[in-house]
Amino acid sequence: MQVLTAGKVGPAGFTPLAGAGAAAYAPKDGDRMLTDLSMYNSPPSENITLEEFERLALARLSVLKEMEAYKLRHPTKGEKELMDKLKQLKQKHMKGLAGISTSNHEEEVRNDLISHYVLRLAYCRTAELRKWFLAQECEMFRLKFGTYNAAEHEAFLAAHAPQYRPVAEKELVDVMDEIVKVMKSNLESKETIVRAQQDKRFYKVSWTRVPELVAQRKVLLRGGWAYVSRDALAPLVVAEFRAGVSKGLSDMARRWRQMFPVEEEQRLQPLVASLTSRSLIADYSGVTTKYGDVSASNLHHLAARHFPLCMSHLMGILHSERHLRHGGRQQLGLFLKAIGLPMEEALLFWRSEFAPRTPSDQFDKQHAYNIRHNYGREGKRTDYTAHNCTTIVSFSGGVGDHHGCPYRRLDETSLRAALSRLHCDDRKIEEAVSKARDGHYQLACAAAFEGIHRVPELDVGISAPLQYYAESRRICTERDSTSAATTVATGGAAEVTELGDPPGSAAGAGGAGEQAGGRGVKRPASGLPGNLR
Amino acid sequence: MADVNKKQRIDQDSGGEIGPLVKSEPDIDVQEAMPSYYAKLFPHQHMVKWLAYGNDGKHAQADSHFFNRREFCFTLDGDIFVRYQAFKDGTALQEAIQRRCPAKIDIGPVYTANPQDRHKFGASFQPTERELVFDIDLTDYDDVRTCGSGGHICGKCWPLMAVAVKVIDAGLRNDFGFKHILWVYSGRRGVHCWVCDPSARQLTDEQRVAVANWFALYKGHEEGKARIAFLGGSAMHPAVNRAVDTLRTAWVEAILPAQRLLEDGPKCEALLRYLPEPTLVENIKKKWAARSVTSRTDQDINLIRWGVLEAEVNNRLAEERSRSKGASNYKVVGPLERCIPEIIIAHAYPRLDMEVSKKMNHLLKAPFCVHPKTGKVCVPLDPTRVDEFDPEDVPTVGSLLKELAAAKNGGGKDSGGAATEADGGGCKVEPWRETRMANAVQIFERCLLDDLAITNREELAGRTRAAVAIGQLNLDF
Repeated sequence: MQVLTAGKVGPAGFTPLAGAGAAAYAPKDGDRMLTDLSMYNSPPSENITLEEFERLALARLSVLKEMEAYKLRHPTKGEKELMDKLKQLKQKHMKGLAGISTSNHEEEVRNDLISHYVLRLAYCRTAELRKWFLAQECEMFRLKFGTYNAAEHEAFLAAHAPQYRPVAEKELVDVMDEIVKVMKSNLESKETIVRAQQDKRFYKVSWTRVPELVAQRKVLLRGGWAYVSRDALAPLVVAEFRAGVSKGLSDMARRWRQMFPVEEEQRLQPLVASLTSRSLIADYSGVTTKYGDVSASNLHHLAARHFPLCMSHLMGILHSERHLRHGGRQQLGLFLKAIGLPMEEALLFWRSEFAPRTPSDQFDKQHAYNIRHNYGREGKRTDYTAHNCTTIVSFSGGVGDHHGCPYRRLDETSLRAALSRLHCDDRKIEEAVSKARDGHYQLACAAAFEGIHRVPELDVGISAPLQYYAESRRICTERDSTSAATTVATGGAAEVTELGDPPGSAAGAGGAGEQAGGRGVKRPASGLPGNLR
Repeated sequence: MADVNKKQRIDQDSGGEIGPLVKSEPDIDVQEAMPSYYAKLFPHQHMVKWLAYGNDGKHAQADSHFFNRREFCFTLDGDIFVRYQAFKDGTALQEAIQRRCPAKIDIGPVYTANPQDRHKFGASFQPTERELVFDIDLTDYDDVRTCGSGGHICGKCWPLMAVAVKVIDAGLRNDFGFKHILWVYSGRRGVHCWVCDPSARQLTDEQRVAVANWFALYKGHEEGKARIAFLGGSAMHPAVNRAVDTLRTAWVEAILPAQRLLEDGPKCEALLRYLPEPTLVENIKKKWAARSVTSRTDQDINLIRWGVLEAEVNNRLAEERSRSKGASNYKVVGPLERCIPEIIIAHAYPRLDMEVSKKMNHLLKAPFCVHPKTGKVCVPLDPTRVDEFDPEDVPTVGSLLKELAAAKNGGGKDSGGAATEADGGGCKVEPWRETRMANAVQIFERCLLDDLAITNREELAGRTRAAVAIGQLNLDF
């Protein structure tokens, strides 16, 4: 496959196998399975535009991420519900991307194949990324494969996994008794056995492909062939799929640099590399101007209401200790810039927060440069962007460091305390703590968001502090306007306390800092407007 | 150079019984005899022919470096292990063996490169192929044999090995479809198995573990009872069923009478512990006592008692089944159904040394080695005639050298003509053909080499086809 800027034909493709892949997914009309399921044995080989390359990859990424979030949120949902969700997500993200009729199977196969391979390229680079991608792809494969009927299974295996040979009826008569004995010896239920006998679809595969079944004597072996029922087939094919994709990923990782033709390297590599860290949510840069009210004087107030824990935590530490170390200053500073704090205000804010521990002249010497640098006014004048969650989660630091993701870095007690100070719903606190315990920090953050804002679930995990902030602003603005309207209509006393909050209590979020450092000054927790309680 | 004190003499080993053909003085020093053994008796060429798998020929696809990537490990006098030996070809191997006279030769895997250059390759030095091997040792049967323990082996416990060979051999052929299987008497108290099919040599460690587990019905001991894999609900796995059938025959025909497991004593008590109900045990004991008084047949007491035991279990089973039809009393019926196969499996099922089979790079003693303590040669076994094998009548290095000397002296009379030229040293006939080693080599040929040669040719031809196919496809992945 080659990636082109629209219209321009480039010379060499970056995936080496040309031509051979086409046959593997040649679709037949009305063949459902060939449109949405593949073992991805061979990469696509065609020219596409850079735009489409990126669009397809992001679409698939959205499906995978939202699917993951949905599963984590609803661990008890059955196959059918998951499948419905998957269909819905595909409809949402993948349909109509090609610009051609959505019922065009060929187009669907093509999109599926291309998006898979682009993501493979993006996610092959570290073990962590490979693991995530592999898990999501396998889950999607498993779901889809499970919905197939006998004929579809047969056709799929014939096309993609010919090593699974259907057992001819004549041969089956021979081995059926023995197969039943194997099932009985493994305490299969009567229904399973009867179903297998009636289904009459069995496959044989070299025993070397099913070592787990052999090790547990869960399969009939004859002359080196293992006989597998259609019921038992799915995990094997999934395992095969997993092995294939896993191998593909590690091969690709090894040859990553060679994957790009020299003349395209400059353009493609950063694009592909950025896919993994890309926020999938709409661009939030609008928030800087939309609300237009960010200044040094109202930062603590905003922090209490709208900042994600990683930022309100830093605000609290900064306020109580009158200092933050470099990692924290960067994490918070770039975020404040992203939400629209002008540089002059930023200098004012940091200066006043650092006082009196750091006198003004010393602050100018030590820190002012850095702040101006972050705003692109010094040095190489880059306009730095705020960290997203992936970056923040990856931060680790010493005892005196408070940056990084609090869902990862705080112990459970501190986390509970910090969240309850933010008036998070108790049930959601527990959900967040348990998600954090399992290493799903962004989902933990999303749970906290829901608990603090009393909203139903978000579609995806939080992917950047800025996203959290923007969502929070949006929701509160909507609420404020509705409740203001109500107030006016009833003519009653103002219940909206937001504007009436005393300035002192606005630093309520600072309480979050007490736990981590244990040095914080006890403060009354408040700051949430009454209409959100 | 050898330290005399460390040398082992045949007569030091327990038993001291020497096969009927060995009429010599019992103090032949094995280590001293090894140079002659390797010079005149060890079938170098057959070993090389085996391990080269056709790559020693002139076939276009023959990999001339194949043999050179195989690890050999020599154990020199004084238990000095010399690992990662590799040889260019059969001549080099033979030269090294004769020069160093190892007390033991182990065969390891074929690696990605010559094992002697392994440091150059670092992590890319990996085993790439190796026979699937099994090791069964009578020491693991000490709790169920009465004739001896430890390194002991005799005609009474050989049936345990014989049935192990039959069970594993049948499984390898029927279940896994392997064809080229070599069984070898390990020289002292057990047997080794080498599965040499191309597909077996390519198995990954995970697949080797799977085969080992497939056969592992016996899972060690716990609280005085053998731990046995679950034999199944209302039916046994066909592979288990076949094994139990084989064991059952051997059990009544050989093992039970030879090991006298049902005569009063701790072994009998241990056996009765596999029965699920104490009342059943009491009934059986009563019947046994009554029977021994009235019985006047000269039938073996163990077999009589076994018949009673089986009948009692079956009666109890019939009673339980007639009581209620259906699965309600399965908790009672299940253990009753399983207890007979369990007793047989606990006492007779092959007890594999699993670790040997699990990893590609596990070493295993080569066939035709000489056991340094017993002087016995590790001779190949014919699995179809394994019952006839007598571990006490295995050729020893001493007996073979005697035969060799006798053949030389009597050569003029017996073979006449060409053979007499042996004195002149220009004879092409290997000296071992004059001894019982000839039988052993013949089994090696018949059970392994002959069919393997055909497979080797097919495999090489297949490599040609694959090479052509790759050339056409122009794969560049």
